[in-house]
Amino acid sequence: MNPIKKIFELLEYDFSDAGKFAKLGPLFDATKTFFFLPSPKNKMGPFIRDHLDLKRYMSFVIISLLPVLFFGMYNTGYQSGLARGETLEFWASFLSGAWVVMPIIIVSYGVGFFWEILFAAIRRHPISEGFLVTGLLFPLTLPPTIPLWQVALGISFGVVIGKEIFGGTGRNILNPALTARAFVFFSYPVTMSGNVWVAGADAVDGITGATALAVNAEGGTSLFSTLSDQGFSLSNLFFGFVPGSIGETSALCCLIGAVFLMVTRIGNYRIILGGIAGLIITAILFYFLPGTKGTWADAGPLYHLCAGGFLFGISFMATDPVSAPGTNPGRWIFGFLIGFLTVILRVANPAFAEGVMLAILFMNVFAPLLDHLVMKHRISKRIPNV
Amino acid sequence: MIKRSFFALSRPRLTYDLLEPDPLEPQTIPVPDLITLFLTESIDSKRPALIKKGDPVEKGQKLVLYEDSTAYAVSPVAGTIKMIDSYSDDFGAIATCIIIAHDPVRTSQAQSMEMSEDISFAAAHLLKLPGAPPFDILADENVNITTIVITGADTDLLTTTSQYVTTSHIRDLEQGAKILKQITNVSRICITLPESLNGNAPTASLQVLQTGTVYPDTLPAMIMKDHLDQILPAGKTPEEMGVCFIRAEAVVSLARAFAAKAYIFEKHVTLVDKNASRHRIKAVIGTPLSNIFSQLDIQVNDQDRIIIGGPMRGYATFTVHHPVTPDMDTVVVQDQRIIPKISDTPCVNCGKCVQICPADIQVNLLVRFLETNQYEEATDKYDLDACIECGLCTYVCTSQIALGQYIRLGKHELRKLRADV
Repeated sequence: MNPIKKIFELLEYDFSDAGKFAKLGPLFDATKTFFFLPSPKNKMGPFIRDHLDLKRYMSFVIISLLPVLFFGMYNTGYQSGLARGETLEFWASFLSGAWVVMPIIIVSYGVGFFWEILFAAIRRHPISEGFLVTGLLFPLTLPPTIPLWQVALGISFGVVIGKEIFGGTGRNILNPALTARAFVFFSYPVTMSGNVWVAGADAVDGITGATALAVNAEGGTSLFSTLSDQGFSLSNLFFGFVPGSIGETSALCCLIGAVFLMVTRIGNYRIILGGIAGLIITAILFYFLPGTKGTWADAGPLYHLCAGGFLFGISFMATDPVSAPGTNPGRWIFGFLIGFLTVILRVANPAFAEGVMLAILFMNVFAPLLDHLVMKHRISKRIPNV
Repeated sequence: MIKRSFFALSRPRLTYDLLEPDPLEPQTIPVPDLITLFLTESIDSKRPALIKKGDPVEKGQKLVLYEDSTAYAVSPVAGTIKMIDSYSDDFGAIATCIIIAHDPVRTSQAQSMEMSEDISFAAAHLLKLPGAPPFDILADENVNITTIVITGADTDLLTTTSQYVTTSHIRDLEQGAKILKQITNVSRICITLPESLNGNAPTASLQVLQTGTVYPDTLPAMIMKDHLDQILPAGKTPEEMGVCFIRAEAVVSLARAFAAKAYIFEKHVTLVDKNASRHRIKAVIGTPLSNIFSQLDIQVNDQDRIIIGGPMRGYATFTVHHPVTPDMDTVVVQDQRIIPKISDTPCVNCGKCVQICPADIQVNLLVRFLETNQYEEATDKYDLDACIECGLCTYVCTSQIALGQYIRLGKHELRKLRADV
């Protein structure tokens, strides 16, 4: 017999209702179903079911995040190497980056699961699989220099305030990972603003650098040349060899994840395409606005697309089905407005260089309203069914 | 039973089971000692009952509870009434069950009946023919039926009852359709058949509607849309739109009853056992399922599930003593180990139900109202009425919510609400 299965069978009694660890039953269940397909039970019809359950569904998102994660590890090492003035080769970059990134992820999962288990044990429901995704998304939105205690605090806020007080996965209004990031962003602006670049701080102190979105050209030079002077050429931004939050630097890896999500229909293509369309159209409009030379209004759609976390946000955060609208027209509008708001925030409010986080949170709040309007329109036209 | 690849990218396609090329004869289940019959009327102890425990009954005798009752049962055996008791159905509505002890010594000949080609006669006597013909609806003067559709294609997965009856009793079917035409005066009679059975189609006077092989192509609303160019409006029944659906088996039984001038009691049933192998059986109406199981060596244990009427649209019964009824085409026995899970996870809005819904309902929004018992709002704003109860949303639900059950319950509660007003 499978040795892992044997362990579970040995422990099963202790975690059952009669056992010593009955309170921790949900933890046992979650661990077991992580390894094995859930043991089935049902009472009502229809009497057959598709095999895709919530856990498998969430696992697909994890798979789609792997390119972003691995590139993020590599880039973290590479950038801290650059900051120290040396060019590291691939494995050295990857390993030194992993050394920085892994603790952040472990803390995020560890602290987050503590809250999940606590709520599951008190409320006596199984641990919800949604956290598998939240626990990985949150670290990817953070700069690698973030202190671990802030990670712990952020994920606690995200899980408890962002999700559990509403009733857990499926009932949250806002995306929990973004709620966590917003909390850290507003509470500790210094570590989040992107003006500090000291990954691997024990090796090198006090090396600072700005992220692309914080760059503004002065003295009449064009934004593009200023950007490429500082290493933010379009190709660097696209492939991701720039400093920034762990997961968001590489537009290419985000696109790979987005395509995977769209093909497997886990992420809704309407949101992603709508968002990209919204961003491009708004960016073009600003591009033609006079008197903006040197600022991000002048950047044009390609730079807006590749710089910052827009592609990461629209692919992995905005497509979170729980906080997105449920109707298809609603999803187009939702995506489009996220793209629109992202550019508006980037251009109009230099205090929040990264607009996409606020844009998504803002639209999360309006998602039920969009659904309501779409349904109202449908009913008013009495579109025939069947 | 029905499996789909985990990595399938598009939406799942559930296909109907087609009749094998050389179908086996059904296995006949011997008439049991005890027969159970259902009556859709509850017992009222204040009124004088026409039948009571100990009464002798003849084969083919019509059993009525009270003087003015419209519900009736027809005894398939000669014997004595052993018990009359209450029985609660799927939604807890109270009905009556009559248990008759079979007396094999007494004549096995059914009472001869004078058949008259008249719809009110059919409604008064032939409702309980195998296949449950809807003569009560056809006889209703407020309902104007213009088209009758005989369902030769099965409406649920895993079953082949209708296909088998259609192809193996083709003469009876044609004869039955003729009688049906005469007693109802409906000029347009069609039959649904899967494409593969087209060679066996009855030629005379029946219009053949070729159905596809993908679920839910053969459900009434889909037949109306695909073949009759009529879109079923939300909240209407096909009968209200002038289309009446009748099982092929009912038409065959009608012809045979007229030919024999006596009642017919043998019902064809497709039984799917725990190993997903199919048995075709022929049993007298009223035979308890337990008799069939023991005849076929099917062990039913505690917590196994017996599903009546197919995996998608059927309902589970709580007792192995549930009898064969005139409208029972399919029985599925599910082993306790493979019964799929139900969870208390809330909807995550993944949208699979919306993608697959043939009626284009926003199931993800609808379920929020059903969960909180807001049935009026669910109907007014979220198309509860439009549901054709195919069960596909429940099949694909990522959170494994019992959507179909919520919808059925919602419709049931709504009917109660409207009846109260």
